[in-house]
Amino acid sequence: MRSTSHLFVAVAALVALAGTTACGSSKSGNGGEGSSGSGGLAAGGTFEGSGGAVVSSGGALGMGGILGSGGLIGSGGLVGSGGVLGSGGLIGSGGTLTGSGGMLAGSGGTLAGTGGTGPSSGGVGPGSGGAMSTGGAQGTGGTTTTGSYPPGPYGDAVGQYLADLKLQGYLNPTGMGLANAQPFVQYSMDELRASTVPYALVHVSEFF
Amino acid sequence: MAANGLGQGIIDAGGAVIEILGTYGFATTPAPTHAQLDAWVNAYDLNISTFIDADSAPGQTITAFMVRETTVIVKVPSMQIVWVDHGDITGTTPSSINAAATEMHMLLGK
Repeated sequence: MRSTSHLFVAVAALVALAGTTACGSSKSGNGGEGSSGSGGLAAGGTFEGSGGAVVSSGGALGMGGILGSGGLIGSGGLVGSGGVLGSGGLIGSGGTLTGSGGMLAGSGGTLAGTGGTGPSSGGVGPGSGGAMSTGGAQGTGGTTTTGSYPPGPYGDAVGQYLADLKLQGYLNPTGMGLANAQPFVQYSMDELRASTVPYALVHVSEFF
Repeated sequence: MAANGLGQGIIDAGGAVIEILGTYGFATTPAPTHAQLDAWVNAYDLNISTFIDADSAPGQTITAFMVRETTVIVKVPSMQIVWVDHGDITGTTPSSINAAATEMHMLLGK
């Protein structure tokens, strides 16, 4: 009987070792099985009790013992519960405007999600780039270059040249609306000369 | 007398019309002012380009044209005078504008 007890203890120790090993794992399993055990080493009475699941009925091992409660494997690993799914990263926040006048290359955004410990889906944003520039407005051109003002002789007779009079007032070349609805500006015969009209009528008036 | 009524027809035909208030109150000096130019525009509802001498050159226009009621037609851009008329300053005969407008339309072909 004494030797039998020693054998029993040895077997119990091996079983206990197996349970402990099982507890160390936490990566797989569907849970549940661990609930069948209702005891543990402490509640299992003595190792020398009668029976036991392995050797005989009863005894600490028979009540589940370490093996029964050792279902830490069964309680699921962290894989089962999954981690926090990847919360995604920020979708690409668009590109950087780089072009001037029509070419705009978005670089896109590629922030990867950090997620949790589970299989994060990450957030690989496609990057939408920026809006295309429409370029600048077309220039309206400048004034016609007509060279320097004629040197004369100036006068008021046919064949002479009209002097480059320096004036101020209201330029209204289209005749639309009252003259003084236009801005009050500086003007000269040289500016008239730069216009596109072939002839100009200049009249000197009196007002009282 | 200003070229208002006839001026629009010349503009429409492709020419330019420049009115210069050379004198005010029958006096060659002082040169007309900004306020007098406005009063003139408002009195006749002028819609054509209207000017006075620049502050830097008072009296230059009446000096160049010798007398008010003068109209010249210049060829652009040479600025050579191709037609001139010194109108009546008594106001008893039509302004030089009338004959000038006829001449302008002939030159412009319209």
